[in-house]
Amino acid sequence: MYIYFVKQSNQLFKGSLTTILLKLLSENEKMYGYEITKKVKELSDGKLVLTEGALYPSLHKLEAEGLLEVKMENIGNRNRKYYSLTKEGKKETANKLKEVAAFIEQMQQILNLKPAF
Amino acid sequence: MTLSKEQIQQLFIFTEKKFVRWYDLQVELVDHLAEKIEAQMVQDPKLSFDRALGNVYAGFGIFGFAQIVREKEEALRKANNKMLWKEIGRQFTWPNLVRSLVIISLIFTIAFQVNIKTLAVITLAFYCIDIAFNGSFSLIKFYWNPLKKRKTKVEKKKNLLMLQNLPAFSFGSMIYWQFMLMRFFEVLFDENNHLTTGFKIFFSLLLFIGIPIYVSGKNISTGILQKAKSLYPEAFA
Repeated sequence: MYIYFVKQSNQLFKGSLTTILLKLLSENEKMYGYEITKKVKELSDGKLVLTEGALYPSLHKLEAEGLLEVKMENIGNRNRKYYSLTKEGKKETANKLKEVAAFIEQMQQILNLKPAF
Repeated sequence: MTLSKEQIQQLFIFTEKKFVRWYDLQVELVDHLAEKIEAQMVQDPKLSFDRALGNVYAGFGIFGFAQIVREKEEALRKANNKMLWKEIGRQFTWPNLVRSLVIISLIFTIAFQVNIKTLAVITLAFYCIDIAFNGSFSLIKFYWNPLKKRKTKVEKKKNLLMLQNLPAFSFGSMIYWQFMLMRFFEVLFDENNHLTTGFKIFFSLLLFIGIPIYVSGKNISTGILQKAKSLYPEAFA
């Protein structure tokens, strides 16, 4: 349906966007849209590029669900919208990370993956 | 490299031309466009502002801003509905429940004891209140679709997406239509021109549900409006 990542349009990553956003926001007190795209690119060494068409709908959805709260700040010539986790958002982040960890463990067991050195 | 105020203004005009008519969404998109344009102009100092804008907008894909607008509207609609149902549930708990019961009791003891002529005056009064508070003939819309959401009229300089489709219900029109129905269906009155007990019970039940729905709509709308004012004070007159 959507292309979340341009350079690596891997199906595996499509359902992980929410978790990535929540995790990034849990590690940073507040972040804005463009900053998140830069951070994802940096953390993946440029392999994953988060598109605006995927990022903003996800952020707005999380905000509407009450997992994120917003704050406006003036940065000189314009206003900037910062996102941060709510109390509910912090709980949801922990749940999502547990789910991902369990999923990776199960995949490891099923596929018997060995790290390539 | 920082864009000038005029260039930022151009970005607002650009988003408007691309059918983003809501200031709350424009602010976020303008900041994104501006920061990306600034980064491109740092990398290539010869790059013009217009060219950089074209490059950055291309990054939004073939749908441009349309998908972002559509999905935000959908997210807000779902969030508003969720909040509304939660609030309606809260209205049926102590002490809010008592308020509804007191109003119903008052109507029972005062309004239902009078004859049809007095009821006609009360009807007219509710109708006038409805027009005064809602500023329009909302009763027909309400009658055809009771849960139809109407725009809350707020004095503001700029449109905000978060203030579109706020839940709001017309209480006056609900009562007006009940009295109108009574007028048309004479079976609702007994031989002394007083309301029948059956209708009184029906109307009380209607109020028992109607009051919490109306109050919830008002509460939610007020909360969202306050949030909008604190986030985007520049959007209000």
